[in-house]
Amino acid sequence: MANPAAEKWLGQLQGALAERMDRWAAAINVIAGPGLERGSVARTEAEQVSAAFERFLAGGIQSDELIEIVAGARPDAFWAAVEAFSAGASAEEWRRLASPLLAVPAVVRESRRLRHLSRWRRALAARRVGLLESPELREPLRKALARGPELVTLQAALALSRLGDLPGLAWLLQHPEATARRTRRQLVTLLERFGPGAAGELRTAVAGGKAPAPVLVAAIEVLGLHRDAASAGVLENVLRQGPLEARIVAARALGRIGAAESGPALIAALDDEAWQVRAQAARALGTVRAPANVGPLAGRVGDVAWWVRRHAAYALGRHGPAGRRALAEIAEAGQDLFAAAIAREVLQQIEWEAEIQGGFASVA
Amino acid sequence: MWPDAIEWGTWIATALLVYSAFGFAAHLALGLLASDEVGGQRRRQLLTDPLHLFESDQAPAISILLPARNDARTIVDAVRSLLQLDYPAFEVVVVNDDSSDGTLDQLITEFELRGSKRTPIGSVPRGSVRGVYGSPLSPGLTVIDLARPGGRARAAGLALAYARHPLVLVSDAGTVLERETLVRLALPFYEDDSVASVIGVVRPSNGSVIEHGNVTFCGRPASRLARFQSVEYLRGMISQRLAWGNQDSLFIVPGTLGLFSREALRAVDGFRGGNVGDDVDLCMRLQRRAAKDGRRSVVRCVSGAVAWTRVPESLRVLARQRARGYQALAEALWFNRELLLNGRLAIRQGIAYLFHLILDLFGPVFEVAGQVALVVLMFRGDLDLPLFIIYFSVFIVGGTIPSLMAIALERSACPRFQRGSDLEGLALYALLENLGYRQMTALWRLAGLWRALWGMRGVGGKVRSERAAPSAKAEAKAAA
Repeated sequence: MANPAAEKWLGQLQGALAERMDRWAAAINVIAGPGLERGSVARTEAEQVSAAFERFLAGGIQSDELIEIVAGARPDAFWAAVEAFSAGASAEEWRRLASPLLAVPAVVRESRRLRHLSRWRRALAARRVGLLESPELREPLRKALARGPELVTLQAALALSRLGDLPGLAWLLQHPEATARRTRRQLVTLLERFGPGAAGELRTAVAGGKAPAPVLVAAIEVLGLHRDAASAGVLENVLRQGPLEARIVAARALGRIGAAESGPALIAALDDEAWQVRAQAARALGTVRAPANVGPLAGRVGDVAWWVRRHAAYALGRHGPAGRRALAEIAEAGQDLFAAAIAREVLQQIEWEAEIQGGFASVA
Repeated sequence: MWPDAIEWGTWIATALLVYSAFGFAAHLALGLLASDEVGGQRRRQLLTDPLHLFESDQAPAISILLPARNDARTIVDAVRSLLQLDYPAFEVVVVNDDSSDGTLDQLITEFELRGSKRTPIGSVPRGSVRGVYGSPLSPGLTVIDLARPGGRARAAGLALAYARHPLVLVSDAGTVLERETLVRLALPFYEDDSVASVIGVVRPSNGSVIEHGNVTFCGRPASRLARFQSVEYLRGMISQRLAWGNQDSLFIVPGTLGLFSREALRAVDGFRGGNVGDDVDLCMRLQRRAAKDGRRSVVRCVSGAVAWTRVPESLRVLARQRARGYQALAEALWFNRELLLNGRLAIRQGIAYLFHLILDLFGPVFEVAGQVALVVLMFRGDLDLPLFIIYFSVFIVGGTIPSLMAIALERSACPRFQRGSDLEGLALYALLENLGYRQMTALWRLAGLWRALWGMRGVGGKVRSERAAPSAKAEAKAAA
């Protein structure tokens, strides 16, 4: 077709139609009902496929036999078995098993569906072929990632994260608009799956990022989850001058990293105008333990915001005898009723510490 | 000239026929929408891996609030069952609503509770809390002892002040949550920041065996009255709520299986406790707020999240429960009439409001008054027999088919029955409920409507004064 606009419009129309057909098919399937018998047949087939996987790993059957057995199963049963088995098998076992499975017709069909008109079908294909963790699938997955929309991008990114695909991660970080409507929790789970090896990529993106895009905020969180000490400087910078969301998460991430050098930056953040930042900074100082923290934390036990009071008091509780002394003074002074109450709560938790499963940390 | 009696009979029968046919068509449409929703949820389920996701520390933490009043027989098992749920981060806050049967003593003894110095997040009215208890052995359990009884909503509101987590679930001692229910309820919050509330499916536990939160056997109840209720629960919980969820207009939530965002609760003044049906009212307030903010899909129904509760097997208890339920619906519809009348709000919610008003609230009035009138006219000879037969045929078919659709949906939405014969047996009750049971419940619902009408007049001042009272947020601000 000569007109690109018309071509684009036609493509969108085809996609929408394919989407609608998928949706109707699902609804008709519901009305027709799975039935007790049909459900049990599908379960049995999935169990047979899983048994074939086990026999292959034990050396009981060869690749050809495995392909023959699983090719006879219905696609849904095959993928149900792949899903269940991939969760339980060791990395080495799964690599051995996944290699011959690439020749199974269901896998070949699913790889083609990465280019399907329906976005839902593309997303499902990305999720399924991603389970096989095959390097051969990197390129089609990257294309699906870039083509989108968000639903497909997320599934393709999850598939690429299983492969530790750093170019895929770089694309995600360079295109924050592609994941703008995903929740931070989802994005954190996604970025975390790329593993600690991706910390450098994340650090570069955070250092260069300006807008508070959800994926960049998630990247800050993940640097903390990986306890990436090399990122402390970048995070302190964000804590000083980043946007609100980024400052909150940077304070939490610095707490997870627990580097003593971050103490001054966190103490400065106790005076932040946003109570959320003050609360996270106080909490983080509970892990960055240093005598210099006790005074500023004791000052924050009288904060106007309950969460700041709580986190400051619990952080003091984690500062050993000096922190406890400070808490006892606040509780006894009783000038600030709110501060005294939270100090008494923490002192009681410390008393119970010896008996609590997991110790004081489980409640702090 | 006044029409003669036989014309009156024809007019009444025709009007009732039209009303029944409209109700049938509306329930049929809901059944189809529910199928679409179940299909959509199954598609979404194929793309998620909830257990893997919740192994990470990204699961939003949940506070389970458990208001208890004179629940000494069940409270310990209920708390133990809750503490065993599969979820990475949650706490249980029990509120003893001034019980007189030793509910608090049972908890203190079983969980070795001691006086706790736990501080509330928000403001708590002076003298409303007699004591707060915690246990070093169960750090996830807190018990609040209220100084005077105030009802479930007030107890939940006070418990909320002592709860710590961003998501809040209010349950009761008679409800058993399946072990994976929290994971399924929390998943929409994980995936979408705009979600304010997620509800699950509550099913009658009569006839089933539940051990440690696991349904080891699901069967048809032995009591006939409970079987009728099983059909009603499937129709109401699975078919209607999934359909309204699909249309983004879910108003009626189960009081024992709703997970709320704490932020969303705060935005609509949380649990008010001024009326009988606080759950429905709360849900409508959330919908109103979302409509004003232009947000969608704020209240969702998840078919895979299941809880079990014992339904009444005596007519007296059931009558009281139904009357109370309809009083709650009437009050909530009245308080939230803005959903219908304010043109700025969403059209779908207006349609849902009309459905609840015309078919749910005034349905019993039309059914009882109309059927009595038809029978009288028939015996007086003022009504044609064919019209009489056509009306009752539509009434029965229109009542049975939506129930059969709901029973069929059970297999796809949340299959729990292990024997096909149990579902077939319920199908028979879907037909039988139109011959007596439906009329009986219509009378109880009328009683509820009557009480709501008097209640509104009687306690209007109280409700208004509560609304005029400063919100929790304002109180907290003032305290700060």
